[in-house]
Amino acid sequence: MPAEPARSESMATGVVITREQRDGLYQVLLTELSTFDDLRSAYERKEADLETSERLGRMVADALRLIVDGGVGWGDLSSAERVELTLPESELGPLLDRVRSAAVSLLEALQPEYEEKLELLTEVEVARDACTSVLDKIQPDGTCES
Amino acid sequence: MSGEEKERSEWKVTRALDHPLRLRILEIHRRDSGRSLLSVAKLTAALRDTGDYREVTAAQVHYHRALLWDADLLPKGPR
Repeated sequence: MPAEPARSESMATGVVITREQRDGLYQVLLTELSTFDDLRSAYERKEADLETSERLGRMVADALRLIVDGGVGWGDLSSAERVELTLPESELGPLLDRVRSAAVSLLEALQPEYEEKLELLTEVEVARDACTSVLDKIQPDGTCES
Repeated sequence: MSGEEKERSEWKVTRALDHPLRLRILEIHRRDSGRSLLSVAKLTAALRDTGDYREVTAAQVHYHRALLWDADLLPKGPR
């Protein structure tokens, strides 16, 4: 069971997650970034595939926001024990809510195929649980729990 | 099939084939006799055995297989 995210002592609105939770999130976000080639194909088409462009564009934009600006960061962070998510909670909530939905959908789709190899889905499970833990700390209106 | 539907279908095939990982999945499928319904687990393991995709994740394979299904380039198996 992943550890509960802790409040940052240095930043009143910050939420801190473990590196394991960060790595799980990062793998899910990398999967979303891997759709960029399809996004490009969709918008470069003579008559742009607007539906696909909107869907993949949102996915890629959210993934980049969390990695570049949200504290998730790029690459291997094995030297860090904890990672602070640095976006305002009012923005972090909807982003993580969407990532959690994606992780839940993936787990629902893949678990029947992985009856004997469920450990391969650990990263997605950790990502789902990390999103849930952070969202539990954020009120629906984006304010902190007292 | 209407002209619009035909164009949409052709676009799905074009999009599906416009990615090296999806081409590799099709290659694995053909090598595997082309008849079996390949699970994400089996495809992920097969891709990781190749030199180019050692780091591929089940989530990535799931996404790319869905596009191949959508273009009717792979037989649909377990979702």
